[in-house]
Amino acid sequence: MIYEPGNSCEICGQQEGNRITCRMCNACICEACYGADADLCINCIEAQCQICGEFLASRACNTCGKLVCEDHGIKVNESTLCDNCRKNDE
Amino acid sequence: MSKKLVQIGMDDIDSPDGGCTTHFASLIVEMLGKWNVNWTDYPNLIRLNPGIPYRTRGNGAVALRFMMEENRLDDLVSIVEGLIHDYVDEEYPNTNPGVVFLEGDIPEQVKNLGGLALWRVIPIQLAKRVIEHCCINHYTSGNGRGLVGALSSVANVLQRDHTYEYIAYRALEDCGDSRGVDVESVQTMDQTMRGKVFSNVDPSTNRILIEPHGPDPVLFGVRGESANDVIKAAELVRSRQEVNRWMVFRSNQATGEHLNHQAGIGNLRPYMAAVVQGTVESKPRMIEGGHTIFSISDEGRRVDCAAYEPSGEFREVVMKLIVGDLIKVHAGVRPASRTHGLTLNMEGFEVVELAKSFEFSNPICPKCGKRMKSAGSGQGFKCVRCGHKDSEITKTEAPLERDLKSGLYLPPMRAQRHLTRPLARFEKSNSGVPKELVTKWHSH
Repeated sequence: MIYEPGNSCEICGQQEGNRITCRMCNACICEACYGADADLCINCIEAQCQICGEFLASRACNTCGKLVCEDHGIKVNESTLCDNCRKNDE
Repeated sequence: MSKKLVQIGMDDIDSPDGGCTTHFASLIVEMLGKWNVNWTDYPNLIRLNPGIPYRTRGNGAVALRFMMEENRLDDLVSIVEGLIHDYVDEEYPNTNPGVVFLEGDIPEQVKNLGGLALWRVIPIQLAKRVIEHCCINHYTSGNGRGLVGALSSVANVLQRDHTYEYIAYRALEDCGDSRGVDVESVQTMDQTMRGKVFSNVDPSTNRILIEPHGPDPVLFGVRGESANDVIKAAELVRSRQEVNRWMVFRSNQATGEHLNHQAGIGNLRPYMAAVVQGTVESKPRMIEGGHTIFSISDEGRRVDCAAYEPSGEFREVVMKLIVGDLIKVHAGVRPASRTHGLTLNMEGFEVVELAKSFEFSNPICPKCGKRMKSAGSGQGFKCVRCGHKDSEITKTEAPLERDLKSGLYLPPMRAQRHLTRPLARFEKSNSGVPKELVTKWHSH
């Protein structure tokens, strides 16, 4: 199946109302799926790095559960450790 | 008393330090055994988009479907809630269990969400909106993330292709020790049951794949084409730790269900699982850490593709690609970071059309048949044997045979996703909900 976003909201499929483009992921979304305070879609708000907020997370820290981007989390064997927990360990 | 169809979906009941949603489901099945319910299907183990960052391990959720006395649903909800409280590791802040209880048919909105959850990322807010709109009885704690998988598992009734998995569990008090699954018994099982079970042993390393390595209660899992096959195969496996309980699941594992969408580069979004067709733009190169990177393009847009070190010999196949090859990359979309843009994390690729590659060599002397040498810049070629000179003659162009054919290439079994359709299943497909279940499909 070929995926084309079309006119419906890329998150909820809603077809009515205005469209907003998320500045982080470029998704075309409806007002209900947009967080005006963060100026992001609700997906990116939930998936933001919880340390810097600048990039989307790649994994959750196995110690504290924080979602972190590649800059703020390192992989140790199969686990992810965020910068904060790594500093605490040291 | 009349009975009604009840469907329970559950997710995120595990944590990195232990627990497992499938194990929890086996406890519920044991409890329901005493309630005189009629099972309409095996427990469904539904794997969701493997690329999302919230998952603990394999992003699996479980759905249970059965007929039960109508007036007992409230009891069931409160008992399941109590069991979750006892089971989850409340110390770990990223365990956000979610359970949904559906009576009767599955609402259309839930079906749509379930379809999306296989290849997109679903925000918690959307799951909560659907639950509210459809008035779905549910339980959640933490941030509610588990509701996404709970709804998605209930939504996927596995009408099309599916497989089975027999999961053996160890006692919770054994979870700190090694499992001791006997390698020889697994190899024998794999040979005895060939064609009926799959992904037990990685042929390139001889490593067994049925034994996990974390502190979870799963002792081993055998995957196959029917419930009888996996039960028979599991009887051949020996382990040092004892099997404390077991259950058979029907699943979308090994069906490739997450890669049903082809997306253009301009339509890629973070965490999406998709097939992306493009022309190789830069020659694959090995970077620090042993990862292989190259880029593809379509309609003027370009994206990097990465085959990581754990994919082993798959990287050697990737290195055979050349600029101009037309390929379809099976991938999960890794979000951009400070150091790179969106990247396709490769789960496989199909060669659609190979670019022609040529080898250029000095011409053969038309007089004596010896290969000629350059006579100097812009002066053509000369023959060192007979002295013949020709300023017009040019290098000969011969097509090079490529060490790659059209078709699909996958990483070795040990590096495949749970949802990846392995080569062993390419000619196989199961369909439809089973009309009846085998007599004994769980231990308790």
